[in-house]
Amino acid sequence: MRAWDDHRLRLVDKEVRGERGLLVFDAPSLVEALSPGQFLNLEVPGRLLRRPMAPAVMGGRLLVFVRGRGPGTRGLLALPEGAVLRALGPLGNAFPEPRGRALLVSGGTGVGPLLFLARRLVAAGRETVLFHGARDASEGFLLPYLRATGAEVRFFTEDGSLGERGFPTEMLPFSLRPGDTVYAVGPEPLMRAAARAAATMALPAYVSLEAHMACGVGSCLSCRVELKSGPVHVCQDGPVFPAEEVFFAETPHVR
Amino acid sequence: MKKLEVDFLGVRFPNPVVTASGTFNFGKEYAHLYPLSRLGAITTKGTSPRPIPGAPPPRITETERGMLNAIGLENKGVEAYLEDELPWLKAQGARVIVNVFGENPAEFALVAAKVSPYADLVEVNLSCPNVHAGGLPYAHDPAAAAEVIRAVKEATDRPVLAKLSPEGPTLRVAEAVEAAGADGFSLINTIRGMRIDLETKKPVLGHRTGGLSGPAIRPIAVRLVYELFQNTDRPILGMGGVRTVEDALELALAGARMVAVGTATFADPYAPLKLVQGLEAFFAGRGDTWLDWVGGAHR
Repeated sequence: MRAWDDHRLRLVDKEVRGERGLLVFDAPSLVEALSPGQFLNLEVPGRLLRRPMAPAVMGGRLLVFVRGRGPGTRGLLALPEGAVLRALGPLGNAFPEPRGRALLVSGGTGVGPLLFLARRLVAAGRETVLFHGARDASEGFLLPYLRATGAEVRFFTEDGSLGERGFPTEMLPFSLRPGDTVYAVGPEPLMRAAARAAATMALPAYVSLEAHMACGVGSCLSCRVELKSGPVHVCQDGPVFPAEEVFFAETPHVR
Repeated sequence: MKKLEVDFLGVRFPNPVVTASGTFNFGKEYAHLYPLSRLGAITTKGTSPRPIPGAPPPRITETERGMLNAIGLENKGVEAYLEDELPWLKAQGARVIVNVFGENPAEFALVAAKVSPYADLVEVNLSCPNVHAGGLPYAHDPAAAAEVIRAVKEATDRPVLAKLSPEGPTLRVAEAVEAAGADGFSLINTIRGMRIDLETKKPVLGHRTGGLSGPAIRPIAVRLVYELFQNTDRPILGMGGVRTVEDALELALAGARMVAVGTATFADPYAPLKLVQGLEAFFAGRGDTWLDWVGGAHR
């Protein structure tokens, strides 16, 4: 993996639906260096600190999925086309190779790294199924991107307004076969449920953890989490970890 | 460039730009970006006798023009750094300021003694809690702070900087530690603050309170460096929200002989290097030097 640096990104396109959106950047120096699962520490307009985000690379462009939760991320979604930002990257580790078929389960902004992974796996001739869970049809704008990966796509909405009704993790157990590898990125309940489904069949599963970070590169020590094997720093040791290593919500996260 | 050269307690630094403790770890993360020897010095992450796991998450949160952090003094303990980090850092040709702390004066002294072979200067973190005074930071208690400095001075032959807090009786602590043998000062450490989440109605940080840093605290740094300069002949390493050439020069005028860049490095890992380059460009076209600016506001 290549050493990280500070890269220049230029916003060339965006799609915003309510508080969610997709930013498309031209970032030639960065797209070649990134592997699926790795993240950026992205400059945010008007804010002091950058924000860690795991992007996708498709068609030579950098795709960043953003949920506008605070002034920083809302400012990102409000950026005009042509805006220039800086991003540190590539940061962190990448998803390991699947053993056999790959089952990807995404929710929220977790769609970024998994879309990227799906694209790479399909290109490498690996059988890949991509489950995405959305709240409602407003995330329908993601469908063309999901389909463009070439993976088998299953799209779920909680209210059934688009695709299948329910949560992707409800259907995941029925799709799993021996030899599969599971990758889940999204809200914690989604990752926990996917991890359990995989564990039930003794399949390997990987998740990507989020943590508050300042530097993103291992110096501030903000992003420490306790895994079953001991403490790690998400930015350097992760963000991708074997699901069996992670304490999910019911158990305390640190110490 | 000779115009930036600084003699600080008998150590020669090529320029006055230092990384602040806890914002650059031991430098390894940044060594592929630029030679660490380009900076005046690296101040290393606060080091204690034994490993400390630190505070529960979240450990940081952004504020208006600043950030709060409650890392909880996480570090791997002095033995790990003696093995993996400090010899490596010296081998980079960097000048090194080693930040040390402990639970009592003897622990401070122990760490200072062990790191001395790698330290151009030893910086003593007086803002950590004094377990024997109900967790009150040493920096709030002139007598306790003096006791720490006395112990460290006996343990090391390197010049000793007392790192002062902007909270508590800063100038009285400075006077007490100077009498106890402190060779110089670094200030300011962070200022405790808090954010509360409107949805959960709970403090945002796992530790509840955290240290405020960044541009928001820079005027406080300028004020305290200015006041301390009037009270001492010992050299001052100034810090607090410094990023630009103007920020550095303002602290120099207040009395800082060297300046540290901290939070700015989180936003831009090149920030310390850019400050060196900016100062080089600034003085290139001038007849005066960095040292001509130091304490300039007092003349």
